[in-house]
Amino acid sequence: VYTDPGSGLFFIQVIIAAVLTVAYRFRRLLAARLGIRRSGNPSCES
Amino acid sequence: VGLHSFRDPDGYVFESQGRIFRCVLPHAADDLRAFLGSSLAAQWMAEGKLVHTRILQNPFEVELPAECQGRLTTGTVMLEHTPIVFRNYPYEWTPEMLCSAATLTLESALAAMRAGFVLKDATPYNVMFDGAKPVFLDVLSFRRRDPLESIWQPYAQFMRTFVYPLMACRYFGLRLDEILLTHRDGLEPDRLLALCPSYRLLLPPFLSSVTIPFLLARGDRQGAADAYRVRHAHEAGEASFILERLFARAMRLLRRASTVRRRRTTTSQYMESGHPYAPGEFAEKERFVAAAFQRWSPKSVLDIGCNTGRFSLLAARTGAQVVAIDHDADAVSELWKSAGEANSDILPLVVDIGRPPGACGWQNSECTAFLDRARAGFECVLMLALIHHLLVNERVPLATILQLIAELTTGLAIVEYIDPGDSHFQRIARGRIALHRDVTPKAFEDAACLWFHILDSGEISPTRRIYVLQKKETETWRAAS
Repeated sequence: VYTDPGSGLFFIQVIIAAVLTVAYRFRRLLAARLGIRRSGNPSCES
Repeated sequence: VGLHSFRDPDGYVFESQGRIFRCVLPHAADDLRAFLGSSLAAQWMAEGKLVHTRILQNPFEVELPAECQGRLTTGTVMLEHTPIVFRNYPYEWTPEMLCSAATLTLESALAAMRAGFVLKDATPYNVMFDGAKPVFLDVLSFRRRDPLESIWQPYAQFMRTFVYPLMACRYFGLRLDEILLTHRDGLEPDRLLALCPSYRLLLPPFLSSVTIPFLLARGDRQGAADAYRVRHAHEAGEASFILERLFARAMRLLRRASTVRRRRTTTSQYMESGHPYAPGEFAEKERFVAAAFQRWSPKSVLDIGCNTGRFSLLAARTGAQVVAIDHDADAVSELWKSAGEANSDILPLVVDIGRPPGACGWQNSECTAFLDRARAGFECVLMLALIHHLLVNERVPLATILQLIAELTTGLAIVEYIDPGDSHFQRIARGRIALHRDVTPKAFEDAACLWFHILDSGEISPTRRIYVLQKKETETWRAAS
């Protein structure tokens, strides 16, 4: 990519992406746990 | 034949005999074919959001610019784009138009991501307005996406070229042309920081979008290349989740930056309360101009000093394509909104005819001067209630105003003459009316007759008269000038 990625603006995007990664994984984990509890069957996780 | 772009290593745009071509180099051809073959491209072209583009079967049939000759190799793809009727640049838009172009850019980025592509740059120069609607021009901005890519590389460019200029307008009252004419790639965080009072740096939206990026940039003095590598997520769903929220955040910042809370300017209130006509006089003016449009039906009109566009809308209703210019961004903004609502073929631009934007960019060849784009480009030039401003504020001689009109039109001109005895003329002259002793109806008619035949005229008030002028044969007026 030939556009200037910026300096601080690039790093803040990396930070936002890191926070969103944590949020995504937490959501997945939560969904999996709730799914298991509701169904009582680990195979329903997905 | 002229080269129009050269920054993108994947290809370049050039103009040849009035047609617009894009040469795509072999290494980028597969991505381009994939994008143009996608349902997204087809849908956006059909909706008018993406410039209509076709692949030429024989790329060697096109005459190339001198600097590109010999670079056409096997595997090169040649595209032809439908030209935009009147080329326009971001420094001629209102903040609302820039926001609309930014929204289109973000929508493109989001739709592209969902369709398996990525938008590789995000600059307002990828967009032009066709009438009142933004059109995305750079089909080469789309490449196939690695599904794990979780960083949008043009994010910084989007902030610099769209969000920061809008914040500078919204919070600090700067004009877009002040910012974008001198900064091709927009504003850096430190520029905005310098404009911002200290307390505001700790408040949203400045804290997260200006102050923290500025502090992070200060901490990166070594600038290691590895720091800028593209980050990858562990799975495609995670990458999409991150990017979708990043685009949503950019959209929120954009909305916030473009919520303009300005006091309306005197110029934009002119049509409601600021004009000097009695009600009957204004109705007569409108009737006279409408009759002229009906009688001569020009297909293209340049409305100079359009204000909020009452007469531009009138011209558009008779089927003309209109380019409407005024120096007042508020007035132009109102016209842009009403043209969009009425679906009228009007392109409103913020251009001061007293100081029209010149050619700019690398070697002054990236963006053409306004007058070079407009010269002999319109069947009719409309100049109502403007001559006195050019005489008084710009100190331009009467004859050169008519000469400029003759250069811009290929046929007609509808011009309002305002006498120095007019109350509005005297108000803006501020006691300097003696400077305009030589401005008389006869002097106006004599100057007009150097380049035009007078077809018709009508008195609007004792000090105002509208003339319909027809340009003399080119040879005749050149000899006269």
